[in-house]
Amino acid sequence: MRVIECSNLTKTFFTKKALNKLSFSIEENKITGLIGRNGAGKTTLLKIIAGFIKETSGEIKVFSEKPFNNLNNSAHVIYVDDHMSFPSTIPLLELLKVAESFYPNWNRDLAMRLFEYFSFDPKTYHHRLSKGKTSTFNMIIGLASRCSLTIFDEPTTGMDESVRKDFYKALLKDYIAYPRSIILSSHHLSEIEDLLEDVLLIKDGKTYLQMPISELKEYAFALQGNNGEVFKLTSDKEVIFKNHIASNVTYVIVKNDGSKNLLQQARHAGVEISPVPLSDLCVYLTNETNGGIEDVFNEN
Amino acid sequence: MSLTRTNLAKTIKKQYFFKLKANITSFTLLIGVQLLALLFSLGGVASSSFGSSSIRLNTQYYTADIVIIFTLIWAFVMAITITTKPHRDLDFTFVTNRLSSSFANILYLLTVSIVGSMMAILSDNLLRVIIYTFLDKQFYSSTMGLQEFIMGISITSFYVLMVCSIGYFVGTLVQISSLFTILLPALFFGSLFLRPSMDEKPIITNAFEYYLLESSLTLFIVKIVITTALFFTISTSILNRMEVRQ
Amino acid sequence: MNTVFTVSIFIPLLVGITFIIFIIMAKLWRRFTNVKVTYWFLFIYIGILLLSSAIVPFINDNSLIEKERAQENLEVKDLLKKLSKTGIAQIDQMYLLKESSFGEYQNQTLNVETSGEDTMIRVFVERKTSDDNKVEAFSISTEVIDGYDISNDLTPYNVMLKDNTLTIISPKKQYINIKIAKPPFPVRQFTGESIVNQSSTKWSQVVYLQIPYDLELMVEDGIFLEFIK
Repeated sequence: MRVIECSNLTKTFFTKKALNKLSFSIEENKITGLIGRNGAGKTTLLKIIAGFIKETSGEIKVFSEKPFNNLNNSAHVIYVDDHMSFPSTIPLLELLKVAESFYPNWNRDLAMRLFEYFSFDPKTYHHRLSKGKTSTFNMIIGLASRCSLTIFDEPTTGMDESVRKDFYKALLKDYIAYPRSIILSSHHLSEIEDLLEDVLLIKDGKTYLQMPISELKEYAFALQGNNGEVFKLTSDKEVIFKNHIASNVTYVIVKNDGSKNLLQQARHAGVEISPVPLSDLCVYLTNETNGGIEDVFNEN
Repeated sequence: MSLTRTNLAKTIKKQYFFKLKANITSFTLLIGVQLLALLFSLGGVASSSFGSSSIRLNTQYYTADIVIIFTLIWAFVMAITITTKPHRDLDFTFVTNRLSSSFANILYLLTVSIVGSMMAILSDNLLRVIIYTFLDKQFYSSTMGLQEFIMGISITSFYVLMVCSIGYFVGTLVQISSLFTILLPALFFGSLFLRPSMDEKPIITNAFEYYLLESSLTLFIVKIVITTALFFTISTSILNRMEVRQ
Repeated sequence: MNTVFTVSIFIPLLVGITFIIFIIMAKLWRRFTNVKVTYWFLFIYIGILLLSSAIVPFINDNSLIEKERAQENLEVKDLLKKLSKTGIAQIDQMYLLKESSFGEYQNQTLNVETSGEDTMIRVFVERKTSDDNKVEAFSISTEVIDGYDISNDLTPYNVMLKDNTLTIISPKKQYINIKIAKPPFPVRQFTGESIVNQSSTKWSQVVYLQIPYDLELMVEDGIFLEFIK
C-alpha cells in the first residue's frame, strides 16, 4: 500500500513556485528522509501532506485520500516541527492528556517515560520552554501519537548533541516496536543516514532523486589526482562536483555508472578513488553549479 | 493496514473542551471589564428631575446596562481573537479539520455568551448591594423575579451571541486580508456620519434599533437567530478554504 | 445640532472607542494573567455575584422602602379619580400622610386659606351625612414615581383651624433625591418598561376634608375645591 502518492504537485505562493510538478510516492512503513536545500520546498511539501495547505495543481493522495481539510488525514498524520503551537494556559503534563484524547493510538506509557527521561516539569508551560526543550517536547507528542504517518520537519532544532542522539534512538526503537511510515526532514543527513531506509531528494521544488539509502551510498565516488589524468578518466562520466585543490590536483565526484575498469584505470594513473560521504553528496547534488563556495573566491 | 474513520462530532467535542481550557484566561478580562462597567454604573445610567412650587424631585436610575454593553464589546473582541492565526494554529496541532474547528469555535462562543450574560445579569444584584451599602439606603428597587431573571439571561445571551458572530465574521475578513483592519473601522466610524438626510439618524443607528426596538419576543429571536446563523455560515465557509500554519 | 443627532452618534462612537480600548486591554492582559489567577478571579467574582443575589431580596423587603406595586393604585390620575368618585374610604392607608380632627365647630361658614410655599392646593370635600359638628382633614400623598410611592419622604400639609378659618400650611420647599434600580435593557425591551418613567403630577399632595353637611365654605384664590357626591 502506498502511503503517499503525488503527481505533478505544484504549489505557488504569489508568483514563486515552491513546488514545481513534483511526483513521487512513498511505501508503507518506511522511514524516508526528505533532503533538500533551504527553500527547496521541503516544508511546503510536508504541510501539503499534513493537510495544512492546499496544492495549487497536481494531485496528492495520502492514504488514498486528499489531505487538505480532511479529518481522517488529520487523525492519521501528525506533523511535528518547532512551530507546533500549544496553549499557554495548559501545563505540559496536561497537554499530553489532551493529545491522548485526540489520537486513538496514543501510547501513554511511552509518552510518560520520555517525559520523565527528559526531565520535564509537569507544571510548566510550553511557551516557557527553551528552543531545544520545545523540540524535545514536540518530538514526544510526535512519537507517542503513533500516527500512521509521522512527519518530523527539522525535529532536532535547538537540541543538544546528546538529546539528538537520544531522539534518534527513541525514534528507531519505537519504529521497530510499532512500524509506521515516518518522514524525516533534516539538515543533518550524517546523523540520520543510519536511520533512513529511503531518501527523497528534492531540488527547486522537483523530485531530484528517490532511492533506498543503500543505493545512494553507491551513487557516486570521488577521484582525486593529477589534473590531466582525472580529466581523462572522467571525460565520459557525469560530473557532480569538481574542485581544484592545488594548481595541479583536482577533486571530482562522478556518478557511478557501474563500470568496473575505472577502478583499475585510476589505480594505474595514480588517481585516488574514495567513497563520498552522503551528506556531502547531497550538498553537491543540490548545488546550483558544479563548483563549491571556493569558486566564489577563485578569481580565475 | 486499515485506518479507523474519525468521527466529526467526537472531534468537535474534544476540540471544544480543549478550547475552553486554552482560552480560560479570557474570563479574567471579562471580570475586569464588568467591574469597570460597575464602577461607571455607580453614577446611575439616567436621571430625571422635576418639581412643583413645594417640591423638587431628582431621580437617578440604576441598571446593569453598561455592564451588558461592555460584555458585548468584550465578546466582540473575543470572537475576533479566536479567528487569529495563533488560535487557528492551535487547533491544527491536534486532530481537526476546518469544519470541526469552526464548530468548536461556535460552541465556545455560545458558552462564552451564556457565561458572560449570566455574570452580567447577576452583576445587577451586585450593583444594588453596592448602592445600598455604600451610597444610599433610600433606594427603591424590586427584586427581579425568576421569570425576569431567566428572560434577562437568555435575551442577553442572544445579543452576545449575535455580537460574537459579527466579531467572528470581522475576524475572518481580517484573516483574508489585513486591509480590513483599516477598512472596517473606517467603515464603522464613517457610517456614523452616513445619513439619508441631515435630519435623520445615521444608518448604523437604524441597524441597532432594528434589534433594540423589537418588542415582540418571537420576532426578536427570529431576527437574532437569522443574523447569527448568517454571519457564522459565511465565516465558516470562508475559513473552510483557508490555509493554516504557513 | 439636535439631540437625536448627538445621541445617535455619540453612543456608537463611544462603543467604537471602548472596543479599541478593549483590544489593547486584551493584548496587555494576557501578559499578566495565568490560569491560577483566572480560576481565583472566577471563583471570587462568581461567589460575590451569588452572594449579592442572595442578599438583594432581603434589602428590598426590609430596609429598602419598597412598596407593593399595586397596579390599580399606582397611577396618580387613578388615585385622584378614585378619590373624587368613591371618597377616602376606598384609598389605601399608605397614601394618608396626616389626619387632623377639629371638634365642636358651630359656625355656619368656614374660610379656607393657604400659607407657605404652595399657592395652589387641590382640596376634596366630602359632606357628612350625619351632623357631628366635626371638621376632619387629611393630607394625601399623590406622588408616585415610577410605581414607587414616596409618601414617606414627603412632609405633609399641616391643617389648622382657628376661629372660623382653616389654614392649610404647606411645608418649605422639599428637595428629594431618590435612587431607583431598573432591570437591564434586554428585560425592559420586552416588559415595555422604559428607563425614565415619571408620571409628572401637578399635585404632590392633596387635602381631603370631611365637613358637616350644611357648612358653607369660603375659599381664597388658589384653592381648588372638588365636592364628592
